[in-house]
Amino acid sequence: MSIKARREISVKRPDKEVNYRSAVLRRDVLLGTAASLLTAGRASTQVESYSTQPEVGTNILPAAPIPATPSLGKGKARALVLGGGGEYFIAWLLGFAHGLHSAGVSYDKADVIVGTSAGAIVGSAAAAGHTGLLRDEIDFLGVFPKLLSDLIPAHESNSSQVARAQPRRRCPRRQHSNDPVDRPRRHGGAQSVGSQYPAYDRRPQPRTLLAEPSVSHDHDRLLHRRTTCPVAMEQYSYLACSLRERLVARRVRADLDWRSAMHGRCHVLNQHPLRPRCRCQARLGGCAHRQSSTLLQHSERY
Amino acid sequence: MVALTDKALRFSNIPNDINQELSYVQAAGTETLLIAADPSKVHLLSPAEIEPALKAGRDRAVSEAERVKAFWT
Repeated sequence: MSIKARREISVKRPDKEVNYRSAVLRRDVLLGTAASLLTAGRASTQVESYSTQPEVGTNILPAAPIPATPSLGKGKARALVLGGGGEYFIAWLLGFAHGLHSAGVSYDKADVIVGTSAGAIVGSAAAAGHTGLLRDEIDFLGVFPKLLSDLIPAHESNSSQVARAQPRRRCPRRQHSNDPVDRPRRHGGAQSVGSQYPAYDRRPQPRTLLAEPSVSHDHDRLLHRRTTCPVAMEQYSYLACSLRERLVARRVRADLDWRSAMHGRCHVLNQHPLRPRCRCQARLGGCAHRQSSTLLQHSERY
Repeated sequence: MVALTDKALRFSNIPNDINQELSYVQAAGTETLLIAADPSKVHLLSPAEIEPALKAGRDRAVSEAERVKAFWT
């Protein structure tokens, strides 16, 4: 074979391959088109068979014909379907579960649990078998409503979280904080807890705990008790940062409002020598730790 | 089925009411029991509604317990 002929073959081979590929492509396109036409025709006949359904005001065809063939619940005797409705309905469903449990009917009897939004949250708890905790371990209409409401961020204080006996001054930085998680904690503090639970309000004041050596060794026990209190988030932060400060607390004058200092609030005592400095620090964005360190210097000086 | 509805038994932004939806499920051979929570006017995202909601749900469960028990047994 001459070189010229070889060149012709080498040139023609790609043409054959291209033709073959284009033929395969045309075949695939034709088959795909035919399949889609057949599917569309079948779907249109199905839609026509359900044309007696009422108009629902939308042009979007359902993904599955209505009524859909039940498959998920096949072989299941009982299903529990829980709707959505925000935090309100979470609480409502939990109350409903608690009431049913009290009457001897439990969510556990359901073979299938279907939930939307709030129903999905409560349904997942029910599927995990945790709704019984509401009856066994939580004071349902005592502590639990406060616990649940404290978990919900709010833009404004409300009667469920805040029942302040006395208005207290706050640092400007904390007052204008937009942290949605911190906000309810700030609004519902020790005052709220104390007003809701008289027993809690009779607790020893932090000033007493820190200033009197006789009870300061009892700190760890109180730390545990307060951190388990559902709404006392400020007490939690106070106790968490007071491990160092309590070493020098015995030297602090008894008239210092330690609780206010630890919480980053301004002092309310007009005659307090540190008041202007605390105000200045608060204006500059001082936090509770900075104020408390100032107080420590102050306590060592006096 | 436990659902939060209005007085017309409608879900929010869905044109069909609950009875209509349930009729489709019943047509497939399923027995249904609807428990519709119908608070008059509440803020669904307000923490202030938690305690009333807990009590309302519990009271409703106490009143519906026999019906649910008979339905599930």
